[in-house]
Amino acid sequence: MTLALDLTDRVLHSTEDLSEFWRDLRHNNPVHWLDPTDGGPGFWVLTTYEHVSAVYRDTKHFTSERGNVMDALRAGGDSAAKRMLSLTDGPRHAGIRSILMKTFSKRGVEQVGTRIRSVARSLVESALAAGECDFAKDVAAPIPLMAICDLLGVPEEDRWRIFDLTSSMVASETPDHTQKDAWRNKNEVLFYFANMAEGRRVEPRDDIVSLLTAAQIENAGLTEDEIIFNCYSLILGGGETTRMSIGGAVLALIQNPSQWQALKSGAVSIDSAVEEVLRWTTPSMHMARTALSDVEIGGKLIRAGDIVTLWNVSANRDETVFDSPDTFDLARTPNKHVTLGGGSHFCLGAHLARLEINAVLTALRDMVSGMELAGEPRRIYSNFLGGVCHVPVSLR
Amino acid sequence: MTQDIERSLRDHASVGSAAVTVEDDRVVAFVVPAAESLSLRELRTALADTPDEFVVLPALPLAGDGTPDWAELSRSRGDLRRRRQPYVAPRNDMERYLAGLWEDLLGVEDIGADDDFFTLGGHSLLAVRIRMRLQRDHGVTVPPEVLFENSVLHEQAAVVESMREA
Ligand code: HEM
Repeated sequence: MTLALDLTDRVLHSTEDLSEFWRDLRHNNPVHWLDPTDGGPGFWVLTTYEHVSAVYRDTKHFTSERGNVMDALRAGGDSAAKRMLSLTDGPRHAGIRSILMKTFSKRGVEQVGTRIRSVARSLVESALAAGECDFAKDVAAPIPLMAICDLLGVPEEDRWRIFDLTSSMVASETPDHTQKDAWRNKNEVLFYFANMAEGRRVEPRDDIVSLLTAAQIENAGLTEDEIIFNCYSLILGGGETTRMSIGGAVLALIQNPSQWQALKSGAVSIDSAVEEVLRWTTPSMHMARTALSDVEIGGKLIRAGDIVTLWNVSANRDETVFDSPDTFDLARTPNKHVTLGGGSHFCLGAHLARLEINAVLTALRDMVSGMELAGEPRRIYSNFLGGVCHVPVSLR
Repeated sequence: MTQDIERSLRDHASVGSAAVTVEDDRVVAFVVPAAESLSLRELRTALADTPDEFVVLPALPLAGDGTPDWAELSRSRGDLRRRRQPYVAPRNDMERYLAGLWEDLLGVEDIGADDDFFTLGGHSLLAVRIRMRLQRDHGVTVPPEVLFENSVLHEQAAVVESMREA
């Protein structure tokens, strides 16, 4: 029997352990149609590794152009559709992706590598000096923010304001976060980049905003909408997800002392540890697509126009792909998780995210001798982003 | 006549695609903008023959044989009409300024004092455009919540006016 749970509920994901629910779906109902209690549109729920990774790669039958998260699709489509990289398919997607790829390639992100590693070290140093800190806020948050702001060209003095705005936009640290606040904050961020883009047209610098304002695809510049929404999605994509992974990594290391020992002693490489941290934390709990034509998956007929949700949180714990999937094992190999998606929309920031997590794990290994929880960790409230927003710890 | 209008619309650089028909004794032109925004006011002045009304759409719905899906188009028109308020002409400079701005951003003609920004399809980025224009043309930086809470034209005009005076 399949348990009935409403996955649209924001609070559910943060307060309940859904492992049993996912396992049950994977085994008994891997392609499941869900009718939410709010009476709004229903959608497919895909939970196995096989199906999730297949849909990521199947751009023939599935599109991102109406939206790529459940809430936006159920509300009738994302207002940024076709105006940001993740919500564009086909040649236009390839064109914009190749403009940004130079900055986000493995070599491209190394331009901020030295700075990220030194910021990570100095944040851990301050945390050590203070004895106690909220790792999610004090260490995990500033790193991705600093990195993406460096790349975008956002000046130091504006960064914390941008951070406050973005952190309350997709997910919330309180359960009663209102729609108006979310709208307001999103608007402020878009407005910020609209102004910045206007400035860079006149006075270009060495940053992504300038790159986007100057870029040409087939002899035409990007539209104003595309420039603003792509900046917005870089800030969002880069900040919150990586913060969740880093905060979650520390929590997992505290809860699994043998893994912390393995990291400290050098028994596992940092690179291998980073992959397990990504699999274990899975900050993007789901992604979503819309079917372009009728297509069969796992014996079920998905109709053109249907919303299909891909649950990374479940695919990453699929026992047919990962041995002991509920064990946090830094040496896990192979570790082909779907945390960063797959196919043509595979995370543009993958190298940057890995670099950032790597910098923090390295700093912990080299500088910290012991860690303990100093309070109750807290999770964010969202049906899309999952992870810890508060991780009180004491470091030695 | 509808075909002539359709042809001249299609030839216009700001129009991506167009379909023209007669509904309720009115010539109705359905247009898809070529770029991100389309000023119907400019389009009207550029045309020799003009339709009685415009309906701006993100894409032209097509029937199986590739011709316009007239039933679907008619539904879009009905939907737009339902979202309009009975016309009340803008009464002062700020109302007229905002009405003109909304018309360009929303692709809707004859915005009245009682029309509602969100009901007519206003979204975040369009609100950003309003804020950019108000900053440029009137030197006021309007917080987003002001637009969110005052989404009816005459209300919006009143707050912006009071902010400008302050
Ligand atoms: C641990 C951190 C991160 C996670 C879990 C994550 C997750 C993902 C996932 C699942 C996708 C696929 C979306 C889809 O298929 O619809 C994606 C795409 C994307 N990510 Fe990330 N991401 C992370 C970090 C970053 C960073 C640091 C950046 C940039 C600064 C970034 C920028 C993007 C962009 C622009 C896309 C769209 C790519 C495309 O559509 O071609 N992400 N990310």
